[in-house]
Amino acid sequence: MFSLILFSVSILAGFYGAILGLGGGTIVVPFLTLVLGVDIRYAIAASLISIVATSSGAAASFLRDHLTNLRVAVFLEIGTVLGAMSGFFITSKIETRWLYLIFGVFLVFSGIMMLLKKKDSFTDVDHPLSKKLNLAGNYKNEKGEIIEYKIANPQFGLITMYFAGIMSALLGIGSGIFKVLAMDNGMKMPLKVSSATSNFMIGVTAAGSAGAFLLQGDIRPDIAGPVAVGIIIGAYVGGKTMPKMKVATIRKVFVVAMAILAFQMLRKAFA
Amino acid sequence: MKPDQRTYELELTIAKFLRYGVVTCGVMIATGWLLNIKWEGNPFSLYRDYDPIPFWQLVGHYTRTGNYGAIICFVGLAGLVSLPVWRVLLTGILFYKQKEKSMALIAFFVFTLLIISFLLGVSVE
Repeated sequence: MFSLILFSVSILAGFYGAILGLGGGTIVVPFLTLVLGVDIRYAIAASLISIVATSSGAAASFLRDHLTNLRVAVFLEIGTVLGAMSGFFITSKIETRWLYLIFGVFLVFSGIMMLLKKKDSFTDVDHPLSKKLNLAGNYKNEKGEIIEYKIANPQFGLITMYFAGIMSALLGIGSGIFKVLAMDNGMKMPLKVSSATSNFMIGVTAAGSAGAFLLQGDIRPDIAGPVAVGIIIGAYVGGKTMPKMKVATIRKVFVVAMAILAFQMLRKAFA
Repeated sequence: MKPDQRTYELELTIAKFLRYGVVTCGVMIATGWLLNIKWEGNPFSLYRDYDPIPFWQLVGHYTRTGNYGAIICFVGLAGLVSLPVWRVLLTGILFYKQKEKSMALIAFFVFTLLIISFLLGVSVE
């Protein structure tokens, strides 16, 4: 019975995650810890599995639509994987209440970022490293026009990805918000390309620590099974439904839910 | 073939690999979970306190107790986690085949980092 409840919540998490561009971990980790009373380390490990699943599933579509910048993704993955490795070490040393605290702060930050409207960034100048690795690319906009873009500050992106990787391993999240911010604001990539490339990389970031958690014994079939299956189904349905939904309203409702979850997580941190 | 076209072909190959991989692992996890599902009591009460048991010990335990559902689920989970790792390796090979040595080198470096990160889970036991 409890497994079916977790399965249902995971479907919802995958569904809303796909619509709002968040990983399901934002819902699943608080639900597992606050409602089912599972230790946060098991919750984080199960959440990482679901991130790998949703990222790989969605990445396939984004690649086919030519939105992902594969070269930028491969280059930035150096930073995220190194970060994930550092995060894995920190998680095994850190006190549980700190994890609740960081998660609570992350939820507040994510809520604020969701309310802010993002604008497309653009640069005329291709960074020398970008030129060398041929990182600049193009994509088709809504009107079918081909938009060429160049890349600024790849080193800044690499450093930010390191910290995004740490957060991913610490909290069982994809850190998509940080990745998009770094690519959009720092590297001046178009928002659509940043989102698709971030989604593509999230799987590798999560796998960096999920593999270690799996071998360490933190990933248990009882928890990770329903979470992974639920989120795969939810994300698939969410992806199909997204074009027909009024995302602005859902976003507002979700921000309120995030505020409540943040309050609960922070309360647990200070209990 | 133009560089843009080459990249596009490469992206399509990787997209196919990811799609089939997620579906296969997802079906395995679902099958294992349904075979192993506990209808009575709260199975999550076992996980209130953190007590990690290394992967191979868990697999050994499930084999001895004949819990094949958990084993199938584990195989699916392991496959899913390793999917991005194989994706990075495949990307490296495809870049190499297209004579993009710098990108191939970066991809192989990320692949090596991922293998090391997996092994961290064994060394921290």
